[in-house]
Amino acid sequence: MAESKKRVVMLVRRSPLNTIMGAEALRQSVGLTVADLDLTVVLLDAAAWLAVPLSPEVIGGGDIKKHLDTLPLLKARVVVESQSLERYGIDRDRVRKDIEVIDSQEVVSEITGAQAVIAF
Amino acid sequence: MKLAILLTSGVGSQDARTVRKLTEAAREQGHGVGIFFMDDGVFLLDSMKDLALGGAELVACAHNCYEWGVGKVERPEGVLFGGQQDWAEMVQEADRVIVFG
Repeated sequence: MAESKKRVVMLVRRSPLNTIMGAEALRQSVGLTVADLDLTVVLLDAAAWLAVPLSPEVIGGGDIKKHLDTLPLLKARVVVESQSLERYGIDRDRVRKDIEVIDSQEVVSEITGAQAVIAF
Repeated sequence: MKLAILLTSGVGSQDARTVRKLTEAAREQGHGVGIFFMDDGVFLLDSMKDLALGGAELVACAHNCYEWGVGKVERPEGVLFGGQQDWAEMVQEADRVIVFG
């Protein structure tokens, strides 16, 4: 029987505007797809802002759109926590269509089901 | 056991000291250690390059190094200037993945 892929969760917590680390987490996520991994990117807390159209690059921040466009093409799943959206008053309708909204219980399941969690 | 360590903290961070001690202890016990330096972590390269002599694999994100001019004059010996694919391989091969940042 074929060995299953290692499940990796990339836990992104930073906002796209106050730091480049949110964009860097997405850059790393794209990089992780070159290995034979089952990757899920979870946007949590202030990183919920990564799920809506913003252009941090106009203030010298990292490019997020390029990475978010690329991840689904590379079969990586991107999700955002619904409670984080609520906390920051972000309307679900503003979330990119290729990003799935899940609740905190599902986030816990993602984490507990992973063999590696990279908190960024 | 193989450890993959991601270090994104910068100079002055306790993380650098913790990663050093953890790496030294792991190597003494015969475990494999790979450290990937990214973002502010690339500024720690020079001060941690000696870990390579102890058998740790040190890889720095060349993109971040280029952006911030790290190693432009002289690349720290024992350190590979690589990319995200190197970190991806470390994650794939590791038994444990630890993030400091």
